[in-house]
Amino acid sequence: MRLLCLLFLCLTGWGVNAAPLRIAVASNFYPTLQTLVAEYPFPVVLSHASSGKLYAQIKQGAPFELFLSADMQKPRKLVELGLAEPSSLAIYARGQLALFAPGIERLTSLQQVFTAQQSPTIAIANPRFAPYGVAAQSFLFKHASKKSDIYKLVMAENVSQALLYVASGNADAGLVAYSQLIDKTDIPSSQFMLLPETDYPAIEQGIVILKNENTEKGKQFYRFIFSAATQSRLTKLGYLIPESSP
Amino acid sequence: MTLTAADMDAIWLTLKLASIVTLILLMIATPLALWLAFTRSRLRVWVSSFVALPLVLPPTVLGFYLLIGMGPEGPLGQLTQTLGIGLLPFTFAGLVIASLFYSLPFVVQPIQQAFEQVGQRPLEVAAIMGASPMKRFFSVLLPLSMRGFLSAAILGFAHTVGEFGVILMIGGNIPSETRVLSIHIYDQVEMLNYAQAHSLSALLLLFSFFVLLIVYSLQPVRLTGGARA
Repeated sequence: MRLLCLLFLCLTGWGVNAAPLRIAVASNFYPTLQTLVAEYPFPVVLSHASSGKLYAQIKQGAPFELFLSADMQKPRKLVELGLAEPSSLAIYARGQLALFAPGIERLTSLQQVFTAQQSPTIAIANPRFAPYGVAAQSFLFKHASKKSDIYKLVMAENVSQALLYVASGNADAGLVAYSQLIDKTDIPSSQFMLLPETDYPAIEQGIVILKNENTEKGKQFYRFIFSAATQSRLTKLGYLIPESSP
Repeated sequence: MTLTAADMDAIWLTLKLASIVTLILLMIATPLALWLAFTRSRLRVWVSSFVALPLVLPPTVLGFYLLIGMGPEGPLGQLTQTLGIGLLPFTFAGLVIASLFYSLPFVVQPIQQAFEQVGQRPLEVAAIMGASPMKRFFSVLLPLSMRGFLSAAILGFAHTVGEFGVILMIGGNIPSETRVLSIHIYDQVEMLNYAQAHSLSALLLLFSFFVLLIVYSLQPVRLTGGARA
């Protein structure tokens, strides 16, 4: 019985004297943010989904203090709707595109994928809504072909799924996020390559502070994200950092 | 409400997938249901549990295992590669295979229940009158179980139309090949095209409701949880 009482108190949040900061984060940045949050001294609850879903949830009144999107469009729209602080809209990181092809030894260019296999299957995130997909598609158009006559293009829901398609062997290569591959013990660095950022439109990821009663906590974390230490951390986690921070 | 070419494409693909899957499933499910309805084998519970798995498994689990299983290292993938078919993920054939698993219980169970309701007696009587096993099946059991077949076909079709998670995992979102209606709607939502998503969703909602309406009017007693006859 005492145990049950204790359990009840735990479940109802007894002992937590402050409500945690609630952050909505785009799926592609979620693993990175988890790493960063480990060093943040206050309790934080992360909710991850695609930026589009989070945008819809925030519009419907979801209780988040901060929104870390995968693009600039959705945070900007929230500002326009009066749901976010206009002055807080900023780029917190720029994503980098990488080519992942485990079947190729010493990967140095996309052409190797085409010489290794006729009509290879290439996985990208869906360019209709995923920023990495937009970048990947424009890279493919530039360096392979506009029509998918020399490759079979498969579109994943997001970069994580694109990676799964390649890792499970169903796709020969994938254009994914560099942050997914960098420093992963189970993926040797010879199987992927960072693509030059001039070859695709920039993947600018935007942040906004959302308007609600807990704004102060959001601002605190916002400063943490743009601190020199965190920004330098981001470069080690596979991101480029914005030239100017707010 | 205006439907774009892409919308029509997705609707047509969905109807094609659901029709093919329903036809194949009726052929697979009938002998399976017959065995399940009348066997005394101890294997019965094992097979029943296997058939019912898609009812309780999250589509992500099914989709994940299908992706791995149909991949180059998976048993199904190795079989299809040996047969010279290539790999199944990201193809229409792959969706058909996946949907066969996914919609199996929705077709097997109504047929099985119909067979069980008919029971052994009419078949025994027919046997005494000298009907061969084939004759007993086609002239006695099948006509008496017609309602079960009808609900099985409708439920199998509708459930395949409503399939989402599995296809999201193994489809690869290829227009006219794997981008079915549910995926297309999902895309519209993600693209913030709420108006388009809304009209397509409303269409699917109406379709689903009328399908269920038909099924429930076919079998008012059994499906509303009443006692078995």
